[in-house]
Amino acid sequence: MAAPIPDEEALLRAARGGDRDAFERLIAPYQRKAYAFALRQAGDPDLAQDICQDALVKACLALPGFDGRAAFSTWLFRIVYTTFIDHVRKRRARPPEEAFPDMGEPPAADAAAVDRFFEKLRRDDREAWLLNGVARLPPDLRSLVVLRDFQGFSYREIADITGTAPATVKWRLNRARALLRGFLLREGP
Amino acid sequence: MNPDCRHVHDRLAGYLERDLAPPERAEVEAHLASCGPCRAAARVTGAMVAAMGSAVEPPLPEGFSDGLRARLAALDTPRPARPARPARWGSRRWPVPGLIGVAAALGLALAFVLTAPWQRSGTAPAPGPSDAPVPMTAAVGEPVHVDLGGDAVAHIWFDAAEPIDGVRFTLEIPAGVRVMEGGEAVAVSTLSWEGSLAAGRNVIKLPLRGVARGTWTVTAKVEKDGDERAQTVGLVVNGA
Repeated sequence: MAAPIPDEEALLRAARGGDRDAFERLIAPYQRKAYAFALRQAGDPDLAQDICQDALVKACLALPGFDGRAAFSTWLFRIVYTTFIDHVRKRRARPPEEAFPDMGEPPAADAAAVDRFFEKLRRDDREAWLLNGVARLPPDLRSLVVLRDFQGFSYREIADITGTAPATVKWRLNRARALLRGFLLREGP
Repeated sequence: MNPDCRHVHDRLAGYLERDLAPPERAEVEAHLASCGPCRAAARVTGAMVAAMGSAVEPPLPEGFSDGLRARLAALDTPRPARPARPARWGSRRWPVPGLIGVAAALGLALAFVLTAPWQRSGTAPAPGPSDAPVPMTAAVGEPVHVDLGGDAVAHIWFDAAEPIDGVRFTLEIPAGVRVMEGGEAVAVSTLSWEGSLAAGRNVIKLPLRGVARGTWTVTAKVEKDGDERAQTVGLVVNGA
């Protein structure tokens, strides 16, 4: 997670007092990461931009209620996360059944599948391939993989962002990775 | 999957991040040394996580900052005076940024007046075993804590940029809590009513009593014309 900007406290005070310019400067260091978070969850750049901007506007309006108990970055990403979840609920999106054909145990990998997996990891398009797998995870598990594995948040930060206990985050992340692994191993060449 | 493999799979995250206590790590390593499929799973997972961690962060799309600035500026644009009437429901988005529950974790007490009586629907099922927690995701901020048999107030709020009439409020009450009404603990699974959102912050103060140990979630929904927003507040009922 990005280190707090040196004058973040001063910007925070000014922004809470209604200074829009201060708010823009306050969120500037986090915008790209917040957009990346939204994009890796939503999978679509336009949708990610909408979600991210919605969240940042909400953050601006909610700022008077921020009391500093959590880090500002964690608080901000909490808003991006819940905006994404709100969007999913609003669309009442139901993933196609084939997206999660094996919500039980992922299959044990055979040697050929493992070899194919490592071949794909060496390709230039590996990130798109990984994100294609991530997109097939349920939204809440997808968020955990994005926050931890793509963006490097700590378990404590993820717990604060998603509103779950750190131990629960770790357990569910394990589950998410197992599902993702199963999907990536099942894919053909 | 046999129990030994399940045991190792459940600890893969800790193993790969070197976060296991030494005895547990030794246990996992002993199993991996003798189990080909688990060894492959660990190897694949480690490589997968490393690849994700090395992914390049996508740049902001062109126009993102300008678009955001325009939206922020619109928040400050004074509206011309007009006769008081319900605001037209937002086109694609509410004029209501509903994401306030983060601060609800702080338990700030603010006044809110319900504009219509609550309507109850359904009764709460009998609570499950008192030592069976129900972990919920997407709870807002830190949960409210209450002792078994004790009372607490959950705060959930929504902001509105302007007044909105004809809004349906729904509260979903979990089995482990009762709503306090007139000094009486009432078992109810859903409360709903028609009301309005005032411009600014609207806070629902919900007096509750914890009747079963565990972690529970109250969900508050606000809906108009098929468009819905939801917030949640976690409640932890601590055993005596």
